[in-house]
Amino acid sequence: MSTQGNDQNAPVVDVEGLTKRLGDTWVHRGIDLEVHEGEILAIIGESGGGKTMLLHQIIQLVEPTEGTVHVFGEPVHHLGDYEARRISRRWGVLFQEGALFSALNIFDNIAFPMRELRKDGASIEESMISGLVRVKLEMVGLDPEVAWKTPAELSGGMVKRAALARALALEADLLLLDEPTAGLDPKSAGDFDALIGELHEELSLSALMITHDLETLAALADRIAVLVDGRILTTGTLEEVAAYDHPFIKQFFQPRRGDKMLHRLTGH
Amino acid sequence: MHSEHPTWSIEGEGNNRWIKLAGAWALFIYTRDKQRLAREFRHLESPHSLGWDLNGIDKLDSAGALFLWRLWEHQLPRELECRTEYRRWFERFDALPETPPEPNRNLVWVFLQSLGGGLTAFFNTTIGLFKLLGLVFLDIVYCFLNPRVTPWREISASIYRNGVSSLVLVGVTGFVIGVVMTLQLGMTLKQFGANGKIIGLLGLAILRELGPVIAALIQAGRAGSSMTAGIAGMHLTEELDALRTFGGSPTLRLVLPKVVSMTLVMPLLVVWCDFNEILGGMMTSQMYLGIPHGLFLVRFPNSVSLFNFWLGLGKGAVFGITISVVASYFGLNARASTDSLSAQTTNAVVVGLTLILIMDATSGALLSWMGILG
Repeated sequence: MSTQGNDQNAPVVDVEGLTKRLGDTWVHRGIDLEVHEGEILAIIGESGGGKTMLLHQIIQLVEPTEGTVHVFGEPVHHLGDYEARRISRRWGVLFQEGALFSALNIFDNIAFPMRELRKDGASIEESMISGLVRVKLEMVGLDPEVAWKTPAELSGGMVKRAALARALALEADLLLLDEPTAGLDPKSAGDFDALIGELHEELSLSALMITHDLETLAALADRIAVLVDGRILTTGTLEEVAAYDHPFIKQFFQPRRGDKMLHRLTGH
Repeated sequence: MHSEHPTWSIEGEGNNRWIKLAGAWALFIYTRDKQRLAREFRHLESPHSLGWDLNGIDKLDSAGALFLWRLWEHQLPRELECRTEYRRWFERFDALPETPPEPNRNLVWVFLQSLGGGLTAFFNTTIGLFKLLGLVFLDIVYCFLNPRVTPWREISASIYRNGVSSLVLVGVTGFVIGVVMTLQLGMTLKQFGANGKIIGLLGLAILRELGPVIAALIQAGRAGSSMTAGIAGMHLTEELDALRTFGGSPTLRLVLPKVVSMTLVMPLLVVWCDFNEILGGMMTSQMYLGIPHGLFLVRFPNSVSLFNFWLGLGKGAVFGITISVVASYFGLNARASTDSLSAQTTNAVVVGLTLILIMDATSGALLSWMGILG
C-alpha cells in the first residue's frame, strides 16, 4: 500500500476547509469531514444541497475552489497522472444510477477495472479475470448467467448489485456510495443494505455514503454528518445527531412515512 | 499500513517442509509482482507435498487468492495455516459453479440471422418512413382544421436551429465549391480557348445540382444528426413517455415542426448556397479566366434557363422533407440506451445521405427521359 504520509490513525478521507463556488452560488462554505478507517460515515442533507458534489470532489471528478482533500493521506487534487490513477484504484464508487457501461455486458463491466490495470503494466490473463469476475458476481449475490446480459436487461436492484461488484472489482479499501438504496423497493433496499453490511465486515472497508433512507442509516451508519447550507452542521452517532436541535434534523427524523402508515393501519 | 511486496520462503526438511508467505499478497496493487511470483513458483514441483503457512501475510486480495488457488490446482493444500477471512476466498473459489457457457454462436446461423434481420429492417424502415410521412401529413391537415393546436413555438425554434444556424456553414462550403469548380473546369476550357463557356456551365451545374445537393448533404449531417439525437435522447430521460401520458402526440409536437421548418428552410438555404457558389465562381472567373464581373452578371441570365433555379428550389424542399422524416423516424425508434442513440444517429445520417443522392439521380434521369431537360 501507500508508503508516504500514512500512519495508523490517519483518517482515510480527510476534507479540510473545502469550499466550492459554482457561478454565483456557494455550494460549500468550508467543509471539514473525516472518515476513519473501518467506519461507515453517512452524509445526510437537503436535495440539491451539494452532497453528490462533495463526493465528486473527494474522488477527483471536481476541483474544489478552496481547501484540501486527502484520501489515504494523499492530496488527491495535487497528484501526477500515474499517482492519481493509482490512488483512484483504491476506492470504489457506486453511482446513483449504477452508471454501468451500457455498451458492455455485465462481465465486461466488472472486468473493466481489471483490464484497465494493464495500462500500467500489469499482466492479468483473461482466464484469471474470468475467475475473479465470477467471484465478484457471487459476492454480490448475482447468478453467473447474469454475466452475459447487458445493463438494460437487468432490474434496478440487479443493476445496483452489478455496479457494486464493479466498484469492488479491485477490492477497494474505501467504498463511496451515492444513494445506494434510492429507487429500490423496501425489500430490495433492505437486502442491499444487508449486502453492503456483510461486504463491509468481510473486506474491512471504510465507506462514505450519501443517503436519505432512514432504514439504511439505522442499519449501516457508524457516524452521520449533516450537510446543511454548505456546511457540516454536526457529526456524530445516530443518537447524537438525532438529539441535535435544528429544523432540518427535526424534519429529517420526525416520525413520518412508516409511522403514518402504522397510524392508519392501527387506527390510532 | 501494508507496504511489503509479496515474498515466500521454504522452511523445514523432508516431509515437514512449509512454504511461508509474507508481505501483502495484494496483486491488484502489486500488479507487477505477479509475473515474478509465477516465474519463481515454476520450480515448485508439487504444491500439495508442502504445508502452506499464510500467517505472515498482512493482506490478501482476490487476485492474490486466485493466484494461489490456481497454483494449488483448484484444491486446498492438505496443510494450510491461514486466517479465516483469507480462507473465505478459497472457499468461494471452491464453491464457484462451472463457467456458464457464453450464448453459443454458430457463424452460419449468425450470418443468416443478420441477413434476415437486415432484410426485415430494410422493409420495416421503408414502411415506417412512409407511415411517419403519412402521419405528419394527417397532422398538418389536423392543424389546418384546428389552427390553435399548431406548434408554432416549436416550428419557430426548429427554423432557427436547423436553418438560421446553418447559414455560415452552407455559405462557406458553397463559396469554396464555386471556387474549386471554376478552377477545375477553367483548366480544360482554357485549353480550348472557350473561357466564356464557364458561365453557362457553372450556372447549369450550380442551379440544378450543386446548390440543392450540397445544401442537402450539409443539412443531413448537421441538422439531421441533431434531430435524431435530440429525439433519441428523450427515450433516455423518459420525456417521450411523459409526452404520451399527457395525450401529446410525438408526431405533432416533435416531428411536424421539424418537417415543416425543414420544408420552408431548405429552399432558402438552396438560394443561399446557389448565391455563394456563383459568387465563388464569379470571383475565380475574373482572376483565373479573365472574365470581368460585369460580363459574368450580364451573360449569366441568358446562359441558363430560369427553370433550373425553380427545379433546384423544389429539390431543396423535397430533400428537406426527406432529411427531417428520416431523422425523426430513427430518433423515435431508438431504445433507451446510449448505444442505441449513437447507432440510430449514424443510421439517420447514412440513410438520409443515401436517399438524397438516389432521389437526385432518379429525378435527373426521369426529367431528361421526359425530355424536359435538354
